[in-house]
Amino acid sequence: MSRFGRIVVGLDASEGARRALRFAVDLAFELDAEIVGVHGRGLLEEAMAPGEQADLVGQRSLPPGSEGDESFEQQMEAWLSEIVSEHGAGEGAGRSAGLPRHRWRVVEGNPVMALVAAGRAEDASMIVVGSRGAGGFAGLVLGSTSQQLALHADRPVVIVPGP
Amino acid sequence: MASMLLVAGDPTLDRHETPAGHPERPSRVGAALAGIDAAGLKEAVVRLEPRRATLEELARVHAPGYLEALRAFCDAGGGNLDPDTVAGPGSWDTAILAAGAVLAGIDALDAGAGDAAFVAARPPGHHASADLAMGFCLLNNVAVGAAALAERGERVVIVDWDVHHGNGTQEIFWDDPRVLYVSTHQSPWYPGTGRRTERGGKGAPGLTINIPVPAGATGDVLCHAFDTLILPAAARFDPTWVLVSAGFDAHREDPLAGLALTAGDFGDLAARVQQLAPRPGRLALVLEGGYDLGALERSVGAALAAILGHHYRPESASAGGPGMDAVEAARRAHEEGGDPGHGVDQRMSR
Repeated sequence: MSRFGRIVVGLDASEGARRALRFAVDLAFELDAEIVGVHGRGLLEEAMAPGEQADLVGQRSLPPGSEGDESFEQQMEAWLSEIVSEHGAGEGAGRSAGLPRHRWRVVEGNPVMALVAAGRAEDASMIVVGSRGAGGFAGLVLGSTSQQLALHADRPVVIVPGP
Repeated sequence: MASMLLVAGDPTLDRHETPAGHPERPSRVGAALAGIDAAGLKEAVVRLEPRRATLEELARVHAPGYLEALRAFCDAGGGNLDPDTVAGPGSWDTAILAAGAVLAGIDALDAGAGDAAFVAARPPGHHASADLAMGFCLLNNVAVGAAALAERGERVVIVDWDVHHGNGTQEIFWDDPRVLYVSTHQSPWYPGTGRRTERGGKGAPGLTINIPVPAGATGDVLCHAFDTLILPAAARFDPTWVLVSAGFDAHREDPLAGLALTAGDFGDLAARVQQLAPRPGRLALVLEGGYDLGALERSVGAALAAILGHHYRPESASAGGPGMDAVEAARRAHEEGGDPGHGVDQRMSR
């Protein structure tokens, strides 16, 4: 295994998470690292029907219609395949094998907690997240998972900005 | 038996608005207060004047930078803090009123004004850590109260019977020998912390006690936890004050979790926490979760009635659910000890 070992990626159903996964795929190929995709399952998400909680806070976690871990994994497998096919076959050693090495994990806790704990448990070389773009002053002072994560994580954090 | 109940919290000042359909909603406080009337306790109640916690009082447990950022976030209109947690323009003021209500209750008890206090305020607090809002919580109300007491030289037990583990409270007092934190909670469940091997840091080994129980656990399981683990451990700690993170979402009708308690069970738990207090006037219950309004009303009524020595039991106690073995495992983990700080990987500390 390369010295970069594992890359933890914070995932939900947002476009920012997809950007983070795309960036992590590139890194995983270049560094011969394993991707560990982590989804922190929130208080509402654990208790309510998928999609129901999305309407409450305007943020989507799992895809609408999904029913827990299995659907999360299916969604992420689909994203991964799309990302790799979008990029095409590359020169790196990992690319000849198709998809990069990867695992998916769904854990209880808000995204920041989940990613800090997963980074530690996996001894990840870095944590990759997408900036959600909370926007405006609110986002600047407190808002985003990525900013909170940068504050709390005990290892490098990569924040992938929007287009 | 206690005879005078101080009630802190004023729903008319509540401006912490959550989106339509969000379970953590302003009507929760009204339901909790209705429980007092339903239990026939009106005559025993003294309402306390609302007050706001100061920045200095909050900074005993929260990072000043976090407090400034949270206030600015709310002033700027607020938004989502995580997929569960929202704040709006009125949330900061409501949150400091909730934390202030705990302090008002403690100060009034300290002055001899009553035998026990109930803080009916929101947003709840026990998930909020020193610098992170989550799980509907902005400021850790019970921790603000406990820290104020600890600063006066008091020894505080916090009993957290909310169905979710109070990760924020645990983290705040992880290394603090002045506070014993005890939690019963559903596991596995949000927020993923609260394993029985999480026992406190090197400065306070064994002063965090976690009793995770499986979905379906009934009141007899939690009573067993109190009788065999919590009461003896608390007696050894010899507290001068008892604070309760009184969530009522372990009720069988609560939509956010899967335990199977009844209002009668909360009466039985309340009677037990009263035994922990060294004398009248040293017990405060602080509202945390509880999202079915009817269950919340009945459970609050039954709990407070038990503390006041009144008979109000709208639902009989529950029994027969799983979890006795989990309680035994937690008891062994506590008694056998082990490496202080084991399980620290679940915490946010840097």
